[in-house]
Order: sequence, then C-alpha cells, then structure tokens
Amino acid sequence: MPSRRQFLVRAGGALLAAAWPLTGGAGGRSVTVLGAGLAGLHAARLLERQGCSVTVLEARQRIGGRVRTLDELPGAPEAGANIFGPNYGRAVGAARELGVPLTASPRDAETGLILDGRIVDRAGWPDSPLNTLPPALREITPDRLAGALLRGNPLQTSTHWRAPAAQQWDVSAAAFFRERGLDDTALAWIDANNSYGNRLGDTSLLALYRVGESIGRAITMARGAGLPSLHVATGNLRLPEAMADSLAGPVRLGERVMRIRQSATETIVHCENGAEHRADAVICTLPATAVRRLHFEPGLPEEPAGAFRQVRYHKITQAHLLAAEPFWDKAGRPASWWTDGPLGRVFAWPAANEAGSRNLTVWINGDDCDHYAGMEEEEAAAAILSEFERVIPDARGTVSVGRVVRWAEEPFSEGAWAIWRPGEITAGMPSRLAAAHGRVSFAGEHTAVSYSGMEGAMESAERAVLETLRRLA
Amino acid sequence: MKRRPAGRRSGDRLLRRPAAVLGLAACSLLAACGEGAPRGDGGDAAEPPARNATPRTLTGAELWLACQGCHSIDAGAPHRVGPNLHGILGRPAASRAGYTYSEALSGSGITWRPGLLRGYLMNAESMVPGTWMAYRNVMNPAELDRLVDYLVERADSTEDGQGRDD
Repeated sequence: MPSRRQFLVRAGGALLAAAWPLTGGAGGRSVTVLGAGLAGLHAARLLERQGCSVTVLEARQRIGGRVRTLDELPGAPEAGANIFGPNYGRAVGAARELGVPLTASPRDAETGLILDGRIVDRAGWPDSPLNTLPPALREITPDRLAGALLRGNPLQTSTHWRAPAAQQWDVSAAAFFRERGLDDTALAWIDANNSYGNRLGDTSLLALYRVGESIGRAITMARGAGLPSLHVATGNLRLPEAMADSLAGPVRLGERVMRIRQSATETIVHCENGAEHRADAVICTLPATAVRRLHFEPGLPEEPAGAFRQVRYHKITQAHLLAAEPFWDKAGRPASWWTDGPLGRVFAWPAANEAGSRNLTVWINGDDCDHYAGMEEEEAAAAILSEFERVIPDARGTVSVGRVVRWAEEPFSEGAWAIWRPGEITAGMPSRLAAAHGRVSFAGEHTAVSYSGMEGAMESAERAVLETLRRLA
Repeated sequence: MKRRPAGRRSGDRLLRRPAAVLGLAACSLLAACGEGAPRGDGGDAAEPPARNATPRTLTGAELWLACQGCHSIDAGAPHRVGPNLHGILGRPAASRAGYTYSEALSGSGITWRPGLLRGYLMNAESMVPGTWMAYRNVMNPAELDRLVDYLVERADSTEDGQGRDD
C-alpha cells in the first residue's frame, strides 16, 4: 500500500500538496515511524500532536511489539512486558490519558525453592548439604544471592551507567561473583535466572548495577509514596492498542521494512510487499536484531553498523500453563517457584481466570532456552511440562500448556531485550545504537538511558521525536 | 525574562486538530485513488533545495513533550506520576498539595528560580540525590532556556488564581 504522501502526489500532485496545511508551506512535516510497539506508538502520538503527518509501519499482523497479551488463552497471560513500575510516568500517564484501566499487580508473597530437582526448605538452607556458599553468605538463599552481592551499588543516578566513571564496573559479572567467594555451583544458581545476559560470564556487572539502580529507585518511590506496581486489568496489550487507536490513521500492519533510502530532502522506506513510504524523516523503533537486517542507502557508518551487528538480545522462553485447580493449596506449597534450571522460575498469575483454573508461567532465561530451541511448539510444550511435573509432582494431571513463547525465535524481535556484554557499554555500543543517521532517528528500549523495558521505550521515543522535530521546518 | 520564542505554537488541543483532519482527508483520497497506481522507482521526482540542514532550536511548546508524560501544566490539572507544574517558578520545591515527593526533594530547600530549574533539568539526580525524577536531559542549553520560559508563559496565560493557593 502506498503512503498517504504518495497518494497526494498521485492524486494530482503539486496543486493538492500545496493546498495541504501540513505538508505545504515551509518544509514538510511528515514522518514514517517503523514499529508499532510502545516506542513507535508513543513517537507517533507525540509527532501528531506537533502537527506532523505520521505513517506507522509494522511488520507483524498485530500491534504491540514486545507487549503481548495472550488473549487467546484463558486468563489472558502476558507473554511480553508484564509490570509497570510505579515510576513509569510516561507509560502510566498514557494509560490514564487513554482510559486504559491499570490495577495493582501483586505477586505471590511466597516463592518456593527447587535445587537440583528437589524442593528445598528455606529455613533449613544454611545447613543444607547443597549449600556451598562461604560462611559469611551461607544464610542467603540462591534466589537472593545476586541481589545481596550487588548491594552497595556504586551507581548514583539513572544515567551514571553511561558515564566514563562507571566503566570500571563494565566487567564480567561471573568474575565479580567469583571474587566474592562463589564456586561454580553457586555461580550456576545466579546464572540460571539472570535476566540481563544469556550467560553470566557474558554479562556486564555494570548492566546488573544499572538495573539494580533502577529497581532501587522504583522501590523507594513505591514505599515513599505508597504506589504499587501495575498492570492493565484487561491485558497490557490494551495500552498499545489504545495508543494506536488514538492516531489519525491506522497502523499499517504486515509491512515489513527492507530498505531505507534518504536524500537531502526526503526519506523513502521500502517494504517487502512493494510499498514505498516517502516522508521528511524516519523514526526507526525496531529492535536492533531487526535493524541489522535493513539495507540503508546511504549505508550506516561502520561504528553504528558494527554495534547493530554485534549487540545481543536476551533469550526468554515461556510456557504458559493452565492449572485446572490450585493444586498447590492442597499440597500446602507455594504456587511460584525459583529453580536452578532448566525450568527457570514459575510465576503464578494472581487472579483466578474464567475457567476457574489459574495461570502459571514457566520463565526460562538465557542459554537454558537452548534446551527447547528449534523444536515444534508441541514438542517444546511437552518437554517443559514433563520437567515441570518432575520437579513439582503435586501438579501432575492438573496442568496443561496453553502456549510456548520463545522470544529468541520470534520473527522481528529475535529476543526479549538488548543485553550488554562486558566492555560493550565502555565501547559505546548503547549510544551507537541511538545515533541518528541523517533523517533517520532510532528509538526503542535498546536506546534508552534512564529506564529500561516499557518506560525505556517511551523515554527513547521522546528523544527521537525531539531529534526529528529539530530536523523538520 | 518573559520573552516569547518566535514561532511559538499554541496548546495541544489546537495542534491535535490538523492531524485529525489529515486522517479524514487521507481516507477520502484513498477511496478515490485505488491500488492501480504505478509503483514508484524511488527516484526523487522533485528535488527542492535542501532545507533545514542545520537543526533548529525547538520551541518551549515542542520541548514540553519531553515533560508531559509525567507532568501536567494547566492550573488545577491533576498530578500525573509526577506533580503538576503550573506556576512552578518562584515556588518552594515539593510544595504542591496532593502529591507525595521524595524526601530528597522535600528536604532540598530549593525555591525554583530559572537557573536552578535549568540545572535540575540538566541533571536532576545529581543536583538532588535521591529525587524520584529519573530524567536524562535531551535538550541543549538554548532549549532549556526556552523550556523554562515556556513554564513561565503557561503560568501567565492560564493563571486563574488556582495555581498559587495550595
């Protein structure tokens, strides 16, 4: 489908265009936004408020990007972004503006512990034969080990992680933990559920500090102002949907961008289906995994191109389980679990769903996802369910798998979020991914500074919109 | 001090209107036009002279878009995740009713003057360690001046007495 601007040209051209209040006169104000996730939709909304004509292109047949509520499953669990921090001002603000109902998002207070395939009593942990921790750390359970050792976070601000002074911490997290007396077994515990690297040796300590600083600030605000974490009662996907609905025109679904050309005066985005979209500027909010498949004319300079090629994305595999009954109550055990792998963690979704069963999400991080990679979904579901029933025997016969979502294998995202290996922040990779290329600005959570996740996506959109407006007359 | 930036745009509500009009017009064109048009080869049919090669300095109203996610500006408008900022210049920090501030900002002793506000926008978390405003500055110094001017203007233009008595 041709763009609005093309319609103008084809429908009789200059006369009509000249009469046009927005594209006529002193310079155009049209922008092509790539990606209909939170970053793209926020950028589009802001641009329209400034009087720009915006076309949003989305490769998938759905909007939302990595916000993805599984509406097809009972209980509509979240496969993507799941929690709005109490300090997610932009995301929460957009939801309130658009009448999207936010509700407190409590998590199960109690999480059980499974090590080496067996349930471990927390109270008995200090004396457990499985406990290989040095004496000073023996009371810390494996699920709290990383948090405990990362206390004394040296980062002072949300932007500090990008400062030269922080580069001293841009080292292997595995080496850092080893220096604190952890053996290979204990390192493997941290590795099992590390969300900020696919393996601990490839994870920058600075990236962990960055997240820790951000969570610390959110917790301070949550306590100080009495604000809970939130989710959308009817599914987080309602937020990007409402954002898309608020735009002047529909998001163009199924338009996969292949090529971005630009001259001194305009941008032309070419899609796989043959559509071309001309505009005065482009905001590209695609994940770096998708950007590196694009062809730019003129090409990206080597530094950003190299950053786009090299940046890695976090692997997450989820099995969305449905429990016919709350088997954990009968057994007198928690519904949520932390395991040392390969099952990762199990989260119970708090609200009972329509079928009277409850949702459990098996959440597997990093290289442990490789166990289930390349399989058919049914095969992966069976393998995960088998492991689940092995370590949580109470569940046998009551649990079925609704969906398996493997973010590393999802077309157009190929991962959950950008992760930083040791030295990559120091080498300037995050800022290279955010550097504008002529009339093309980049946004998306991988370019965010003060926040990550949904709020990072929103933050990045504002930076890209200001960049773009400076370029437009 | 209360100079108005050239080409200052009006408020959000007015700005939203042209976009809506565009949407409607584009639809009618779409209906008239159909799918049969020849596919462009990407050649730049018209080559107007390069315009706006130097980035321009944004207006206060444009810059406000980086604030509006978390803050309201109109007198009496509800707080968002951040507090309402109507008439902030001249007020003590952390002094709006109905909003819970960080201890850090409450205890800062700041009364907002343009210079302080510029400094805060430049690096809030360094200026007031422990503030809840995690915000990375994305504006140049001239733009920060314009944004501060805009905050003053908005206080003047919508002043109705409600903004100062809480």
